[in-house]
Amino acid sequence: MNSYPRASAVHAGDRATRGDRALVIIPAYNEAESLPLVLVGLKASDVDLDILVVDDGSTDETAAIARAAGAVVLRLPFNTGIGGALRAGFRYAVERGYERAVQFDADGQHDPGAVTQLLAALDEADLVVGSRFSKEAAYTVGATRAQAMLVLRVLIRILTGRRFSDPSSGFRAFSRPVLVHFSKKYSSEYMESVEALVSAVYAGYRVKELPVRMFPREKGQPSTVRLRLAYHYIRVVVTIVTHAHRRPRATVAVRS
Amino acid sequence: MSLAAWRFAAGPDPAPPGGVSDRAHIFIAVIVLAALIFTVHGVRSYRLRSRYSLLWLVIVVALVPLAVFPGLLDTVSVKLGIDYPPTTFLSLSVAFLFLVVVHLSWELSRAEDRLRTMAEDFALFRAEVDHRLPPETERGPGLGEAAGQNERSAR
Repeated sequence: MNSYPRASAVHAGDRATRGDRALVIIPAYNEAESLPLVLVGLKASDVDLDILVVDDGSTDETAAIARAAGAVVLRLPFNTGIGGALRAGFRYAVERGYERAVQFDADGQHDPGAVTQLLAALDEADLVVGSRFSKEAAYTVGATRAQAMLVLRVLIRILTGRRFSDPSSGFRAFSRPVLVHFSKKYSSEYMESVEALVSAVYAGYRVKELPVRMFPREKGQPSTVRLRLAYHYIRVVVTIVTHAHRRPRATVAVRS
Repeated sequence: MSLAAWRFAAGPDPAPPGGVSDRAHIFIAVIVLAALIFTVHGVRSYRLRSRYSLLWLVIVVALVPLAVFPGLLDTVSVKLGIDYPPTTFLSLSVAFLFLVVVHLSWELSRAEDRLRTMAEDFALFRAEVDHRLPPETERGPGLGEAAGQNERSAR
């Protein structure tokens, strides 16, 4: 993938200051209802965070709300799916010289208070995954989804040889090397972020799981239709398996 | 039967056993010729990109000798050890069509990937512009809105 010298050169002056700030990347598709609370929560966080909302072709007021709340907004001209929105966010983070970034859900199920924990855990890892299923974080899901998640866990175990209690968690923190890796490699077919987890482990990054509290999804439509859920998970499994090929260990330690 | 005679013939045109009647022979040749002209014309008028037409051209060109020499299929089938010549033809057809379809899926995936990268570029530049404009600048309905409407109507 090309680098984008012009776009990044404009902000070259900001780089020194941006380096130690963290970026919160919020992929959002028609989340105008839940987004305001999420943004307020993040602003109240005890660390200074830059907030980026990636509006993934929303047809509601998502972009306007985010902009009014002072967030930077990336507006994709059409819906590209969670993977597409995330890659746009990773590219932004890389271009603007951020050393750390956090992926955060727009539907209000992530705890803004846990962002600091996740960022702190980056000291001994390249990718930190917030898990909602560890003992400290009581969280329940429907039976179908629970089964599907079990299958995913087993599959991840087979592919990576590692245990992840919540491989599909969308609450994650990234170090710059991982951001650079994902800004090139993140496929738009990555729907559950599980695929990204496998890719990061294979690329040789240090991946760590951290128990965090999560809220039940309040607004937005949880995908409860069984057939759709099944179709969704089958696609996830196919993507993981087809994208899973081990590459030589990446030279990770290149921090600019 | 000569071509001139065929033109006026209203009666049946029996095929020799295991062969092709003259009328059918000419009918097939005309169709193949039309397909060839259609494909070449598409490329010449820039309506068909040459990379997509290539497979089609191969197919049409492969059909020409079969249309001109109907006995060729039988000869080839015998050489391949296939008793029923139409099977040879159908198998090859399916194989070619399969190639064309896979090629198209391949190209579509590539096109989607490029489109997505362009959408990201667009969003990044748009954020850049937003960042530079003074906050009070009136933002008209941008391309994003227009695309959103297109998408809605497409659903």
